[in-house]
Amino acid sequence: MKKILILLIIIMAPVLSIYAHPHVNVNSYAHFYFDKSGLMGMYVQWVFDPLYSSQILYECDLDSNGEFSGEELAEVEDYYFSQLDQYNYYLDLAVNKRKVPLPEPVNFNAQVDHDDEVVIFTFYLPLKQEFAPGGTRLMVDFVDPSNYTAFTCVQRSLSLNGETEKVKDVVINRLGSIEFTFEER
Amino acid sequence: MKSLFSGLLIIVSLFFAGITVYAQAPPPPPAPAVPSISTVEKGVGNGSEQVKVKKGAVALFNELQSRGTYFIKRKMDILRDGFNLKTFLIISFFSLLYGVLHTLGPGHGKLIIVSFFMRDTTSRADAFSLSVIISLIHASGAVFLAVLFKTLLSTVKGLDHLRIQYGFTLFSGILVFILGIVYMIRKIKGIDKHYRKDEPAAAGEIEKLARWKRNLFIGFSIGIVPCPLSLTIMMLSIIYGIFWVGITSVLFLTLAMVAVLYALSVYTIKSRDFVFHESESGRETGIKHHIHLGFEYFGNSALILLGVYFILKGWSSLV
Repeated sequence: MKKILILLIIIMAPVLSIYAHPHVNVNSYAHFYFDKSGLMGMYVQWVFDPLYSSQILYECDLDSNGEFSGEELAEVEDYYFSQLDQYNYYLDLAVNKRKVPLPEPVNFNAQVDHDDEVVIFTFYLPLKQEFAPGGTRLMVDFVDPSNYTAFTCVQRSLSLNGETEKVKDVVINRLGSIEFTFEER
Repeated sequence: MKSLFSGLLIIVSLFFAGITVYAQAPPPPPAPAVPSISTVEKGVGNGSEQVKVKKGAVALFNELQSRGTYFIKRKMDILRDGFNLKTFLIISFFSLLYGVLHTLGPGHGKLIIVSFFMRDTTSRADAFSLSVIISLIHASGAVFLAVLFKTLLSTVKGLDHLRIQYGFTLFSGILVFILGIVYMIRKIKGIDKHYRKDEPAAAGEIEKLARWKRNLFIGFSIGIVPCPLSLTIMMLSIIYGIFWVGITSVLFLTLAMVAVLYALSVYTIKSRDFVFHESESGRETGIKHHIHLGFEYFGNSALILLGVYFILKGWSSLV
């Protein structure tokens, strides 16, 4: 009977791998900006893997100079970024453990890192979270529900710009989430 | 003359009226305050203290896969500039190893295969033929799609590539769902074939051609979704003008997938044989009999549920 049960467990193991595996890998970074009132917003950076970057370059770098001109940048935004609104731009935001709607990204930019031959997307999210007594807990989660794109948070510490804030209880999950509490200094 | 003057007067009036209306239109909302970011920072800025960094098995798998793609890209860059035997052999061998890791990871129809082989009327010959069929269709679909994307479908860009792939997922889900339903109905009606341990005896019950058709249908249902990894490698090889490198890499990825799927299928058959061998002699009673039935119904149910899952996944991504 024990043997049968062990065999059952081993055979069921593939159930754990029912979900599709990712085919695009993105290293994600988040840079947080504070002012006198609180958290202004954050810049998000996505560094794509070289295979996917090659595809973006091939389709959008029309003059093949390794840079995105104005028109080419518009193409990149149209074909590779704007359509992500249906997936909430692969971002979940929670303030004090409650999900909040994602503000519309602005200031989109795409650059090419010539050393690694990778494409980097940058965009800004105007979060506008004011300081609150006792602090505010923010969670940023990079996630593709279909699991086609895998996000990795490669930061080992927070990136902050400001002089009025104090942060604590920082948790960075390599699987693509950043959590911390901020309050007024 | 009078009518011409009147027409001109109307046009000029409309022009000035239009300017007046436009001038009174509400101004566009102000752009949000956006701090400048002059340089791309790959590292981090002023850090904070006491940061807890969490890792896990999934993150490790993703990172390994990411490093694998970096490695393949670098080797293809070398081959783009000129043939190098050493690099060619490295990329071929690496594709074989990477294919094993890739296939062992999530996806690739492993659960469907296990569900199918838990049923009776399957043998090692089925295991081999299914592994080959699934892997070949999975890879050749990717090659075919890559050629299409670079030729007839060259206007399809960006995330529309993904939508086409999810269309295949939806189609695969429908086929797997139908398969599960058919098997379940046959099981409930009692017209399903009974278990036979010996392969030749089992083959005698179903004509070999019907068996081959069944395997082809199942293999097609599972393998029809093009392999995204093979697709990406093929598209890059077409961009670089080294189509033959992409084909070789995909071939080794496919061989790896055949090996993994065959090993999994044979293991499932052996496990099933171990559990059910007593049924031949009619000695299967009590809990073993229920486990036997449970296996069969689980296999059929899993096919149905997986079919539904893929249909929903494909549909939600397309809409």
